[in-house]
Amino acid sequence: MDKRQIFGAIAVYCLGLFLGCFLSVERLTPWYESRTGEDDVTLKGLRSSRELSRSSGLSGAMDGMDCRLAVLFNETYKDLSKCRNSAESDKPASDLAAPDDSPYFRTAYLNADQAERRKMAYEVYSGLKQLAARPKGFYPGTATDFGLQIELAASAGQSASAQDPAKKAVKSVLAVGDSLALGLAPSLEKSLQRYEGVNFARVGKVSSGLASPHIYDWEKNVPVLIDEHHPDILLVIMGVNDANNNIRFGDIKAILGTPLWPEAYQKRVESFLAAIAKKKTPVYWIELPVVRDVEMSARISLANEAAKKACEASEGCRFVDTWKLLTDDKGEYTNFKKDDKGFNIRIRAKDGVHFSTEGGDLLSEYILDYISKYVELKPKKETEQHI
Amino acid sequence: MNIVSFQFALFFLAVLPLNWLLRRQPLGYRLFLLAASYYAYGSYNPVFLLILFVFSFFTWLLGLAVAKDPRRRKLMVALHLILGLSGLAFFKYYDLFYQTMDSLLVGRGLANHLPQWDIILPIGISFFTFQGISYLLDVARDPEQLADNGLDVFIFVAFFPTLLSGPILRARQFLPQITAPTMTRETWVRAYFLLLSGLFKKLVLASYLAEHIVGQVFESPETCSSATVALGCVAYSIQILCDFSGYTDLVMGVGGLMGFTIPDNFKLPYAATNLREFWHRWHISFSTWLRDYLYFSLGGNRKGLLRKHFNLLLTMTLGGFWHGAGFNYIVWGFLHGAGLIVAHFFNDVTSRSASHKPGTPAGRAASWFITFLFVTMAWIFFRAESFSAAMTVLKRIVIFDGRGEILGLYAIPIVACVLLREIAGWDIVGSYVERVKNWPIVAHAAIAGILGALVLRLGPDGVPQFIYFQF
Repeated sequence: MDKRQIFGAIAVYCLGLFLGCFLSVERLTPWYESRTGEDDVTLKGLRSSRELSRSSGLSGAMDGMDCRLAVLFNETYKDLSKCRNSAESDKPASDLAAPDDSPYFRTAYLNADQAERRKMAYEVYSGLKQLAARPKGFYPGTATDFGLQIELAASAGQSASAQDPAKKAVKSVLAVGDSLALGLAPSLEKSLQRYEGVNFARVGKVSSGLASPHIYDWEKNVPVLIDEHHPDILLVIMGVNDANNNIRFGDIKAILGTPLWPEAYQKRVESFLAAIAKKKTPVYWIELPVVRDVEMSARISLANEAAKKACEASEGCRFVDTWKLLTDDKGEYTNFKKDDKGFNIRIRAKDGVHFSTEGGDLLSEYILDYISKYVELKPKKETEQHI
Repeated sequence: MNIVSFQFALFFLAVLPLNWLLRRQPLGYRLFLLAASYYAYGSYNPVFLLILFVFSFFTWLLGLAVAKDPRRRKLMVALHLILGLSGLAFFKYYDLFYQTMDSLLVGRGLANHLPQWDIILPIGISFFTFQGISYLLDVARDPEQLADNGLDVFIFVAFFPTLLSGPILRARQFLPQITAPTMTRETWVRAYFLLLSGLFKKLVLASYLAEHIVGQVFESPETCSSATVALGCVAYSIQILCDFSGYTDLVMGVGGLMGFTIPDNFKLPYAATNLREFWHRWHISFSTWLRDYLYFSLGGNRKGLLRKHFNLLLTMTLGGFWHGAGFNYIVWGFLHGAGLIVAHFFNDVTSRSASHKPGTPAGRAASWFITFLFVTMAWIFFRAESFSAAMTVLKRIVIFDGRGEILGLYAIPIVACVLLREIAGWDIVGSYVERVKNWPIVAHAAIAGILGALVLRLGPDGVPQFIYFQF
């Protein structure tokens, strides 16, 4: 074995990886931030590198390249909101200000030292582990059912019940969200074909969520999407990735599993919905489904609870409860549901998270039935329906 | 962990130096390689490790039995095949079996008492099962192929670069490399090119085509014009080539840096002028596995013309079924089987013809076009969610409807460039290695870092999955 060549191969890998990481530091830093605590040495190093990249103009040059190539991507899997002329700062729009009145923020978390914060995180985590160990049959849909004693803070500002929109005709529907939205979109489109004159558009970003503005800043982009598509209603299907991520909360990070997380997420959703409310577009927030992994289901429940509170407090938003639609008679995760003829239809994909085609169809029909209570969806005549 | 993830890059940062530091210690190196492979595989789901270990154990044990006791060879081979294939069948096809029984029983007013199990398919099971079977069958045919060291069998089945989506290795080619690695200047220069090439094909080309045209065409063909649907199908042919060959490039690069020569799985498949040639160039490790262990075992072409055609059809249909529990995959395999019968028949007729002449350029062009058209048409069944969805796509193309969305105009240059490269047969890797192999290490690191970052920049945000991970 030629040791010089071995050394050369290893050296190229180390140097190349280091250089590649530096050039990708804008992308790497938020990814790493979402997975670690503030005391992490590597995180500090990454942040310093990011500052160096910004001050040297490298980040700006890379952003410039992105914007010149933007026309190729047509707002698909790349977030090009920074390429629009905007007076906003380069920080994500969804960078929330720390609240003054949160009991958890001030007394339970902010004043706690590192050991206490870890203990609180462990307590919530233990609760989730105990849930996972409970006997089958216990599969509630809300956070309080889990006995986690999480109290969500009252939302700041006026708490208004959702405006009851006049039952107006719907000509255009826009669905936005993460990969669940992408998976559900074909079924929604198929279901909407039963109605007269309804256009459907979808914008979905894999791996995205309100907790990951570095992947796609929904709060900044959805108003633009509304201006582009002019939907009569907006369907929001997201949160599965959020349920696995920490949330930035001003200069503080709400660590997944701590009592602060549901509150931070509620604030995130409220901020997102406030941005949409300016466009006066009614929003239907679709509840996330139960998933195969019990712990993840518990986290998703927390996200649902927080989103529901935010939606109820936000103007023009309705929360569409779907949890029980996709569970079995015992309230547990199931891959199959019986159809009206008694056949077992697979409703979930093999990954235990996404929907199968039939599952998407089931959920779409349910969503449209719900929506039709509040908006006018005129069914096509039998002969006109597109099969 | 996904091979295009940052976690894998960090993992390999530790594995690469240790791989070479421990090379001179036979036991230590083997344990390290096995531990690294199990760690990488266990990162998906620790339960999968048990399945991998149990299968590896029986492969090793039955391999020993086959080599030491030739009288019981057939019994041991049968036992291993039952173990491996029943495990694969259970994880992969139980749902299909359940739903089939449901249709049969419930349709007749009977109850379906089969348990509704939530079965998680262990990632890579199709590949490592076939790899283990190839080892045992090789030992059964030639006991000299028995691994000298038992740990080598475990490493062979679990080798992390190839575990998830191949190439399906052959023990006689892989095992000697555990103690006799290859590392020259050309080796690592080539490896880094392959890493960059793999990233580019997957993150830039395949992802772009999937997102900007293929996805919409296959999800909602009715909303697209016929021309767009046709373009989408051609784009899928390119997408799957870039996705799968991109993955193979990454595996070859990773393996190459560790001193292992991983065989290439793709040799310009869309340059083929007939279907036989296509299958000598596409997913080579899989097609040769089918040939050596299924087609030959069925009798190959030794039992007459009719039997040869039947063996071809059955081999390819089962090959389609291996990909997934769906009628559309069976149809895909069947189409290729039928196409191969025609190709063989045509070849037999023309090679016997006294007036047989080499093809003209126009003739070769026509052969290429027909082959590519056939392969693309068959891919429709591979990509669609179901057989009926595939038929919807096909119908949309043949009705020549100009109404609907026109998408993917930027996909055309990508499709054209990839096809041209396939047809021209330019050896990009070889040219690159020759040109830059004597450049200093810093230059190579700069190329890797800068181009790697650029590729990441052009790719999607988030970690994309590989098509063949689902098999």
